[in-house]
Amino acid sequence: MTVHLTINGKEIEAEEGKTILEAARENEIYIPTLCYHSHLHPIGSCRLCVVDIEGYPMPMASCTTPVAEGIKVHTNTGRVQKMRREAMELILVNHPLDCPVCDKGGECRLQDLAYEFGINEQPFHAKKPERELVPFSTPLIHQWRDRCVLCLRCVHVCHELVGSAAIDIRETGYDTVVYPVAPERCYSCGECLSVCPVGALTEAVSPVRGRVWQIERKQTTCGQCGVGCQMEISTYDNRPINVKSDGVAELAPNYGSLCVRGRFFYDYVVSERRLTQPKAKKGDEWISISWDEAYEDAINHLRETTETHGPESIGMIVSSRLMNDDLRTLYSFAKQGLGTPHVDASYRLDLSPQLAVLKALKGASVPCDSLDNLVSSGVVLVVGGDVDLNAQVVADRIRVAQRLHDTKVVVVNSFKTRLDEIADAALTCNVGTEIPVFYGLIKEALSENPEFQKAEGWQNLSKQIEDYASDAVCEAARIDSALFKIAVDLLKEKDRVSFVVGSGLGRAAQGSQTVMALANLARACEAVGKTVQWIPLTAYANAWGSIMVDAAVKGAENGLTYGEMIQAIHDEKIKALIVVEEDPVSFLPDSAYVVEALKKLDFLMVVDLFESKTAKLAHLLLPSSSFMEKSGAFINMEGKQRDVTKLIEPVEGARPAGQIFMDISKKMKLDLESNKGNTSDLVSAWREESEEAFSGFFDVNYQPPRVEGNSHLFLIPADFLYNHHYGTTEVFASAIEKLGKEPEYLMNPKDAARMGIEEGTSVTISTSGDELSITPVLTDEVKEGHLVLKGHYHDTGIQRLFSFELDEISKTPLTGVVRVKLQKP
Amino acid sequence: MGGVLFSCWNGKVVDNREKKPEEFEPPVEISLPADFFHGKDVKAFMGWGGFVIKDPDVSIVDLCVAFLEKVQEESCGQCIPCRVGTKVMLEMMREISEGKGKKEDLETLKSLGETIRRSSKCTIGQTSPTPIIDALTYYREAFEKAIEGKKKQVAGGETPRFVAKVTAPCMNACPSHLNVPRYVELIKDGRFLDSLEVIRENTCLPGVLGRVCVRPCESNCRRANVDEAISIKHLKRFVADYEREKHHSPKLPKIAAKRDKKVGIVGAGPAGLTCAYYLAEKGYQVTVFERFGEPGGMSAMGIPDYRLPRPILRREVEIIQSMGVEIRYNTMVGRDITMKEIRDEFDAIFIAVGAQGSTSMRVKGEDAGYKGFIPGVKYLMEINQGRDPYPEGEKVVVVGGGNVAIDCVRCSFRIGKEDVNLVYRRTRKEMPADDVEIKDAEEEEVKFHFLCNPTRIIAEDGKVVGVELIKMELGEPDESGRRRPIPVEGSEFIIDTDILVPAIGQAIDLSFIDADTQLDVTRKNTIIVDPETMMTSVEGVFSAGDCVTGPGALVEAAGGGRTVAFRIHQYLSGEPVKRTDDELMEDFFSAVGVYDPKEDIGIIDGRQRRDLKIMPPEKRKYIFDEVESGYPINEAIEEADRCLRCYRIGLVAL
Repeated sequence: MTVHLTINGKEIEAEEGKTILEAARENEIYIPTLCYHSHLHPIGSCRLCVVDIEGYPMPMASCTTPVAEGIKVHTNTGRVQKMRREAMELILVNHPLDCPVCDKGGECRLQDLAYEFGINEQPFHAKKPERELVPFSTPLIHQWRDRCVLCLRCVHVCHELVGSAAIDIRETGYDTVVYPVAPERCYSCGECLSVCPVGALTEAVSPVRGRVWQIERKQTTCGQCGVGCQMEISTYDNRPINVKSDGVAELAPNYGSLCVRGRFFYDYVVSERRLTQPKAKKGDEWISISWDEAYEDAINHLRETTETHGPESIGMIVSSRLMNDDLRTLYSFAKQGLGTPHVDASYRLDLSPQLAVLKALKGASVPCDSLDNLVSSGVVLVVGGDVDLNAQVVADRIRVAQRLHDTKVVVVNSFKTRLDEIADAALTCNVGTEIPVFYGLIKEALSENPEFQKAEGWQNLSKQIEDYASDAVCEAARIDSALFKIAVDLLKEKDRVSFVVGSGLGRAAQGSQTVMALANLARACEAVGKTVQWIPLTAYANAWGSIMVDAAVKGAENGLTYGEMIQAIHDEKIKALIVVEEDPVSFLPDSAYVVEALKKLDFLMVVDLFESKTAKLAHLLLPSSSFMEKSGAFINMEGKQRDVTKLIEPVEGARPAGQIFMDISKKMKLDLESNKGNTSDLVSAWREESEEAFSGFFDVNYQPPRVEGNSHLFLIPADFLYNHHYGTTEVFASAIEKLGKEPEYLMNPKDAARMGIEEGTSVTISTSGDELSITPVLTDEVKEGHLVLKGHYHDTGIQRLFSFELDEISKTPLTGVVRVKLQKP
Repeated sequence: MGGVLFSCWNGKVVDNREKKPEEFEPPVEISLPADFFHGKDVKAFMGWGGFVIKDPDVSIVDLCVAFLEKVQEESCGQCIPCRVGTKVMLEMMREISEGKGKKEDLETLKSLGETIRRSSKCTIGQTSPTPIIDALTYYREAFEKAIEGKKKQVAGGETPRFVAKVTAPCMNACPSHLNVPRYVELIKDGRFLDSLEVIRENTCLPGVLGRVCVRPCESNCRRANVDEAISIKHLKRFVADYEREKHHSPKLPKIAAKRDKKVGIVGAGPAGLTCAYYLAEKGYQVTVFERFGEPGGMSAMGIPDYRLPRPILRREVEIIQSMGVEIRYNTMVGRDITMKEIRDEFDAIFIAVGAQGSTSMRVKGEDAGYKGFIPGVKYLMEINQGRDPYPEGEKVVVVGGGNVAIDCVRCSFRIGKEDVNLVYRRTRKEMPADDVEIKDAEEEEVKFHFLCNPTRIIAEDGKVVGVELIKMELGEPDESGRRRPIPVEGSEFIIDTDILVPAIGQAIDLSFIDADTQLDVTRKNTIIVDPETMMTSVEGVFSAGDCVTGPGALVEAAGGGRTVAFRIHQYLSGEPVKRTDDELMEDFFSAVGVYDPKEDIGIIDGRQRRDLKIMPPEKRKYIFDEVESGYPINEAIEEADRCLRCYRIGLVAL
């Protein structure tokens, strides 16, 4: 409904429920504010936005007062001007005059307002309170208490949006301070820093800083995961010096929110450990060579391999973090230039199990759903990991959905996650029992619906879910039956169901089966008339880009996948391997097996920013550049194009991967298709391939996990906030060192008691593959029978414990869970 | 105790400074209770509406300094004018009091005070400068003298003791003094569990009170002066439900080190349970004796499930038990254990048995033991234990106009009675039951018979078959302010019924008390306690709740239980057993009057209160499922956002 009002005599219309401030802004009427933030519930602390309404004796804060029919608002009466001025004068009591050295200088809201009001003297005085210096909730942010104006945006964002509640105010009156009340809950996302209008919170990462008039700031897309967050990166002297998001706060998909990786891990790009010159292995030693020598070396080896063993003896593994045009070049280079079908990208490690399913979901827009739709969900089903650790921005959207629409949340996971705190049903199931849970939900919530029996293939699904009545499910999965019932009721009741699917689901044993079972649940929801959304989380900025490029670039087809190539090396079918910005030694299971394979190769060429574990084994190592060093585009997890802007010149000596392979193809006189093309071409190519989409329900073959062995536990490498399992780049960010987080192995005290393990004692965990010494932390947070690793996956060496197995359908290497034996030394 | 020398409240000044004591005029808009502080007279009072001076020796400058100190202590720090502005005022005032002030300061103080009043976010800032501005206006000379270094010295050198407290109309009106503005604000901020933690500081029954409280807070809500009162009850329910629905384990207060003193509590009703919770928090070993197999007392036995589902109550009792409280169920004092045995075993005893009997209608046939004649409370207790009190009966007539009567008629449908009638001697307007409940009963199609009263029970073969009623008309108002019903002679008529349920009042049954325990009781059989100590005539035996006050609201009983917990703690730790400064101040505020229904708040209106979703009458009428469903999160936040946060500070000089 629309209401009519006047502001300063101007007749305007506004939607009912809007505040006077919002209505004024929509009509370009200026009202000064300091604490107001469009993403937060109005705070009302600064009192600068007061206005007068005719007929009401009290002035009103326009940020908290809704519009009403017929009101006459005046934003600039003498009275409110005096109040604003005095409020400003009060804010400035004891405010330090350190603007010249304050990071915020030049883009400080307080400076702007003081200038606007022309405040040049201070009529009020108060004794400056003594404030003890306390470290902030994260070492990545510096808190300057004297500069704080207590607008409270930081506190509100931490509670409302992030759900961390790590900071709050303490004391009363003039002694009030923002205090890190629960630093252990802080995820260092920096939302507080982002909303601070003054210099009270400043970034403590970049050693180089620049004033706003010295720097350049450009919008780009974050390259650290698949969400595709929009952000602004400031650069100075050809290096990024900070990441901001307030200028892009109204843009999807993240609306100004970022996570720790996006906001603070940018400086790996200028790390001193970046590779700056091509290197060739001579014996065990690296020798530096020129680019021309490097190209020649590569060409010679590739020609030789082709001539001796045929083009199909060359494999290529590329990163799904590369931009579309780079990927086109790489895929064309392999499929058309070299003529090998064996090219695959790292999306194989996380998104791959969901591909078949995404093609089948008829309600899903191609390739998947917009994150915006999440907010209007009736219920969100979260599976496959801790969303806060995988993609905190998505978790933020779920929290927003709950606050704005009372969206219900069901979590199905084998360890506790932060979203459990707001979940209506957190079904913490035993590892490997997701399929019974999903099938139980179909049986109990949907199969009785008359519409269900009209769906194609319903008899098949009915048969599959036969044995999964509530009691059986709760017994199999070890979940609380009351919680399960809540999940069932929510699924019955709500018309809009969103699935947020983390990659953990597909990486565990029976990954594809589990995802198909979930897809059957989604399709059953569709069958009974619900609107279904499916949001697949991926660690790779351009997972979709690599999937679509693979579909679009024609040439040699039906090649081996990422993991299969490693097996093929063992089988002597692949003799030369090109790895571009990927690190199979770190990411794949059974690292010994992988290393052994790579050592067998006649030629291993690695193109990367850093000397990764894989790079160390290379014969030829070429330095490439990051997403900040060239323009291009990603296709994010929503399947939308997100543009990437060149921010700095490539680090000296490094070249973009696409350029490297373009150069090589020219020298080899290979005939490649143009690497230019737009995203819509890619999307349509993928659609064509998906046309044979499967209808009906999937046949799922469920094998309960084997649980034999009294001293055995399921080891689950939980997603880790600070490097997302696959950190080839972020691990070189300076913030990682500042955060200093050690990996932790969490274990249930009952298991520990049974095995005679006490807190603080070290134990050996072993598989047939290898063993590792760890010191478990005992906590009820973890279910009995499970050992949860929170920490850098590849730094711990646990890959050694896994055997090299691939999911039989998606060929995803299985790194989700491994059964380990615990022994006291 | 002298008269008032000067008063200025809500801008109305009465100045007796130039008059002889016998010519003193009484203050306007405010009256101070006498001898309030354990016999000590209040020398001066400064608060949200102005100030009152009784003792000419009180220094107004010191009073202002003390008041502003309290303001800084209570200012939540969440808005700039109050946080910084009152600090600036305090420091200026201190300088003046130390003889370091300047004359211009007086004008600056007034002007700054005016800004803070108009621009602050809540009523601490909006009211606190008022008395300072008034003092500067009417006692200007005192400030000028202070600036010259000639501040009034207190006679005899004895500086008065200042006692200050923050309150709010809703907080003050609540018998448990819940910090309503704080917990509502935390809901607005989306901090639901923090909100519940604040609620638990004052009550351990948030889910229960959030459903069935008579909400004195809401009838003292300043928002009503603008549009409609905040739905405080529903917000309380919302956070209690949130904790349960989101499966959070309750964040409980830290329990003090275990003490060796034992407290026995008779009755696991709201008063007994509340007392047990706060004593357990202090480390006492608490045992509660409950005659039923179920906790809750009248809240379980007297309130039907459709208003208060049993699992809600049970969960809150489980929380109390988790604090270490032992509840001995099916233990009736006087039958299974004697008062003497309890007195021998426990160091202090709290009698909280409630009012579980029914008042007689004084109608012929009441004591004849007819089948089908069932007193209201008994009728509800049977139903609440899952039994139909008289399955053969089909038609029901309930007599009375209170909540028990309404519960009886609505429950009757739910146990399958089709023809349900309510007889009340006045009209709908005078019914003491909660208006919402009456409306719900109307929707469920209870047949109301107003302006008639039973005169005779008609029975055949020992069974009720009807009741004779006489028509009434309303005369002059009685002491309760309601018009007195007068029988119309010769207007008797009969209605047939199988069941007759008198629900005209509850009575207290103290038969469990043995001869060794000589409790003084009133004519109405309520237990007499010393209001200061809450102790009965027997040393170490305390009492509160309905058995002291007569049938009252649940929140009153709970508030009584909490107060008794403090008294027992004082008693067992050897401290003087009496009201604390905080309690005295709250009572003092009540006497002064915190809520002014006539106040013009001067802000824009039109933000309507959010109602809960109610099951339609045809669906709910025959089932015990909860009728109302709680707020969705977004609506709770919107409702909480309407709160004006009416904190205010009062300070007395003793």
